[in-house]
Amino acid sequence: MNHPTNPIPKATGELAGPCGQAGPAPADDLLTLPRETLLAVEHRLRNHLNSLLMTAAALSLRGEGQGGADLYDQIERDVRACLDLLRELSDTAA
Amino acid sequence: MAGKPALLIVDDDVGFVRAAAEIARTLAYDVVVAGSVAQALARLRAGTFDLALIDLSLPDGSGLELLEHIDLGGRTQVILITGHPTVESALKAMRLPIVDYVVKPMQLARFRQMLETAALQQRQPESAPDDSWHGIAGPSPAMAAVRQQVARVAPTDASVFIEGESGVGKELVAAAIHAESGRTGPFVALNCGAVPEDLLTSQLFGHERGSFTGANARHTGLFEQAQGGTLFLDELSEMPLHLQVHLLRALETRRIRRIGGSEDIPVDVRIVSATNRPHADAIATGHLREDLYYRLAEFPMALPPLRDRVGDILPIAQLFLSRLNERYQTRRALSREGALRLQRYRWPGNIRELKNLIQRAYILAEGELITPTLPVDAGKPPAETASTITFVVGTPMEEVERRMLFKTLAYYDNNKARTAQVLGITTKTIYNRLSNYQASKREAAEGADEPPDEPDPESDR
Repeated sequence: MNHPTNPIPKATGELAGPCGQAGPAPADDLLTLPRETLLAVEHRLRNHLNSLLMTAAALSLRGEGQGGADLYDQIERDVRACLDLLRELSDTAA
Repeated sequence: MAGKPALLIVDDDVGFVRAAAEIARTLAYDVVVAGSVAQALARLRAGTFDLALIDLSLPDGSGLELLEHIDLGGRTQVILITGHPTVESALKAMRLPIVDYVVKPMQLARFRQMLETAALQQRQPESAPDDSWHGIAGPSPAMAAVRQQVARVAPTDASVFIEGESGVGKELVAAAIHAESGRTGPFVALNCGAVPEDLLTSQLFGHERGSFTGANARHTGLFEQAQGGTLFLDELSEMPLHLQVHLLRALETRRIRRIGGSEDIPVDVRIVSATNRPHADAIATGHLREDLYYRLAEFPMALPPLRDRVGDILPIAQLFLSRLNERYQTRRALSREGALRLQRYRWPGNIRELKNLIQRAYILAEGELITPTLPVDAGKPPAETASTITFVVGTPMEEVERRMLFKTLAYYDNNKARTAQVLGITTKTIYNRLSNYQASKREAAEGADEPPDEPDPESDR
C-alpha cells in the first residue's frame, strides 16, 4: 500500500535490552517499539525510498533539454515524506 | 521478429509508477499501468504482456490475486514487488512457479536487468509458417520461386536437375515434384555416393540370378521399382563415369537391361537428379559427364543456401519447433535471444543443421523458452579450399576425424589406398570408419524428415 496514513502505534517507553552498546545505557535513552510499529515504519520508508530512487534514476536518464522539474518535485515529496515519517516516529516515542 | 515487449506495472505508488514507466520506455517497452487489483484485471483482460511488475499491497487487495489470472509459464513473466522484507520468505514458501520477487527499494540496475532479461526471453510468435508446401518452407522470394517452379515442372515429363549445398532440402523438392506430378508409380530415391561402386550398377538396373558371384536370385533394380513413378538420383556426381554412360543410354532409349540379362525392359520413369556441387565444377573436374548433365537438366533448379535467405531462418525454426510441440504435447517457444542467435549464424549445414539444432535445444531446454547454443565462433565460418580444412576450437575429435577423412577422400578422388597412405592409417580402418558413419546416418535418418545427403564414398579405387 502506498504511503499508509494510519498513525504509528504508541511506543511503550519500557526498558529495552542491550543493543550493542559498550555498556548498559540509561533507561531514559532506550525505547521499545512493538514489532508491528517497526514493520509499518519500515514498509512506508521502503515505499518512499523506492519512489525516490526510481525517480532519481528516471531523471538521470533524461537527456538535456527534456526538463526534469516534475521528477525533482517527486523526489522532494519523497524526501519530505521520509522526514515526516521519522518525525512522527520521534513524536511517538517522546 | 516480435514487436516491442509489453510491460504491466501494478502499483498504487504514483511516483514509482511514473518513474518506472519512463525508464521502461527508454528500453523500448510498451508500458501499461494499473493502481489496483480491479484496474489490473481489466488491463490483463484487454491485452497480453511479456512482463508484469506487481506490488503485493494494493488498495483493494493483494497482488497475489492477479496470479490466478495470468498464464504462469506462458507468455507473461511475473515479478512481485513488496515493501515487506518478511514477505520474501512467505513467497519462497509458496513455491510459485515462474515468479520472481523484489524487495523495495528497487535499484535502477536491478530494474534494468529485469527488463532486459524479460525482453531477451520474450516469446517469439509460435505460429508455423503457412507457406510450407510439401515441407518446402520459408517465406523468402527465393523459396516462393522454388515452390512455383516445382508446381510448374511437376506435371510435365521434364527431367529435373537440382543443385544445392548439403542440407538445403533437395530430396524434399524431388519428392514434391513427384507428389505434384500425378504419376501413379512410387518415388524411389538413391544416394549415389552412399552405395559402393560395384553394387551401384546392380542397384540401378538389377541383375539376373547367377549373373555374378553372390547373385543367388533375380534382383529388381531401382529403375524397375520406380516404374510409372519417379527415380531421384542424389549426389549424381559421385556416380562412376562408366555407369553414367549406362544411365545416359537408359534415359535415351527408355529401356534398361539387368546385369546378366538378355532382353531390354521398357521403363517409364521420370528422373530427378541432384548434386551438392555446381554442375560446371563437376563437369570440369571429370565427376559428371556433360552429355548426361544436358540430358538430365531439361529443367535445372538451384536451391539457395539458408545463409542467403535470412528471412527464412526463424519461420523454419518455428516450423520444426511446432512439430516437436505437437509430437510431445508441449508449448515451448523460441526466446528472443535464441532468435537473434539463429539469425546471426551462417548455417553451413543449412536446414538440416537448423533442424538438428532446434531439436537439441528443445531436448535440453529446462523451461518453456528455448535458447539454442550455436557452435563456437559461429559468426566466422572458416574458409576452406579443396586442399585445406579448418576447425573451430572445441570441435569434437570424432567430428574432426570424420571431416578429415571425407575431405581427404574427396581430394584424392575416393582413392582409399592413397587416402590411407597420407593419413597414416590402414585401408581397413577407412572402411570401418565409413561403415560406422553410414550406420550412424541411417539411425539419424530414421527420425528425420530428410535423409542425409552427405557424400559417403564407399567405392573402391
